[in-house]
Amino acid sequence: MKSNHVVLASILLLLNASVFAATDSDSQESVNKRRNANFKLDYTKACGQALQQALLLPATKELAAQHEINVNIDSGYRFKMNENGVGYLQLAITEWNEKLVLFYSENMTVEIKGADMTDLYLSNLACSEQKKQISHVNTHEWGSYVMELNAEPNSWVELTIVKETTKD
Amino acid sequence: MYIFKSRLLRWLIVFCAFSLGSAVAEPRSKVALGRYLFNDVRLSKLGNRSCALCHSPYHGWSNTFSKTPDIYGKLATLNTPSLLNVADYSTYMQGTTKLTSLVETIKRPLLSKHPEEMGMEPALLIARLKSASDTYSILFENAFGSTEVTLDKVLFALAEYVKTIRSTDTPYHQYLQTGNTKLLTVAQQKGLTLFNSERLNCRACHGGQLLNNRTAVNQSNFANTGLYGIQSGDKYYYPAEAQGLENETGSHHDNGKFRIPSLVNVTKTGPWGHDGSFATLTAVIESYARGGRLTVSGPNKGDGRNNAQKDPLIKGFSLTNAEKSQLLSFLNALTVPAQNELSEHASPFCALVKLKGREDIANCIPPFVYRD
Repeated sequence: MKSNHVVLASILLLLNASVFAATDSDSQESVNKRRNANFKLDYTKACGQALQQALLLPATKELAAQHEINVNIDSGYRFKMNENGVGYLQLAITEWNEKLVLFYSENMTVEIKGADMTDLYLSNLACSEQKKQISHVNTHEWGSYVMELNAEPNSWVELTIVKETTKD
Repeated sequence: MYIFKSRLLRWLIVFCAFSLGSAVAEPRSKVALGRYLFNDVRLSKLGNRSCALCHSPYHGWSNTFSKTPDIYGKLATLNTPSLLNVADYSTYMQGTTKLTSLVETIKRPLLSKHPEEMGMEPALLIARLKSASDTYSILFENAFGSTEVTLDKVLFALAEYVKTIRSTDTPYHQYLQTGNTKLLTVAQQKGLTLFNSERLNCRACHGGQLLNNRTAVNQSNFANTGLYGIQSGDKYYYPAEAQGLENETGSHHDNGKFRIPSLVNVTKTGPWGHDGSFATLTAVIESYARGGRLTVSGPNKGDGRNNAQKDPLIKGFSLTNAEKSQLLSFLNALTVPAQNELSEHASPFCALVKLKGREDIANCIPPFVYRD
């Protein structure tokens, strides 16, 4: 009798878990659709942003400061990760409450200390064939921000930074 | 003759009394006016800069940029220096020995055209302040006995306010005053010993009350610390856009010489270096330990250790990780309490952009909004 109860409880738990998973997935999909509809212009711009290949991904924060990227100009990069799989970029954010769209390789993670990553890992439906993901960033206060990039050592990665021009 | 002498004496008495009165009573009202001006975005052409936005009490009277942006968002060439204790400085800019007056120095960010840090023009400034008479008439009246707005008055009031940005209320300075070693942690005490040691000899350049003066007399308080060694022929240079005193003297001997900064509150003023190219104080220490910084890629690639203009005191030294940590602990003992700074220097204006954890003062004045 006891074992029947255990089996029943387990089945219910599994069912619940799959219901939650489906809900999460639905919710992610609907967020994705909403964001793509809302930021269509910005996402399309990200798709077409030319990628510079001349910049060697800085391996330290100090080297990143030598290549500071002013986000007032949209930019894109294609890098080879170093043997440690970590690199840094420094962003000059000259506006308060700046909002950016990052469009980058699926095999890479991005962190910006002091900034809020507001929507992570969205698909860019304007060019889903590029196999890259979108995250939104809000830096609130102006200043220089260091972005840390992590990916497989020696792998190639791409990153595009465009300003959000669409207002919520 | 007697009458003349008597009149002269009376005039002198009145003059002295007036001067004394001004010296005692007026500075407070000039400081009050200066505090409003310091925090007011009216002082920038496009209404997007105030003195306080770049010299923020939340960031050790500096900001978090490596290089300061102008009003159009274009990056300049130097890091913003902290204003803490500038009243006690003898020169006011990082790359020139010539600015020895605070009032003259304030003109630079306010009025300069290259770069347009605030982009202001005297006539526009006066017109804007006149049109904000609800706020400023009483402040000018109290400070100068008249509501008339002039550039000289603005500069003078700003200088008086900036002189109030002072503190050496740090554990280290308390220890210096009392001799009580318990005011420093064990790590900080060890760091202090290292700081003063012959091996590191940090004190040779970071001496005095503000830790910004050479201990040797008659030596310049400007130094090339070997941050860059960009080779061209048989010479080594700092980046062309920021060559320190060479820009002033034209002599290669002065290449890369910048003012030695105060270490009071140094932990709060990052990024560090004249161009904000150090993201951590650990990296600063490592550069000194190496005897100059190595830049392995980019336009400024080169070895600062080779720079012939490097200060002879930057010789490099050995340092264990534990010692590095102790030295960093000592630098933490130079930090002034943030809370005092924030309450004493709160902006009278509401923030243009609200930030989490930052409260406007009660009854703050709505900020100026620029319209083209």
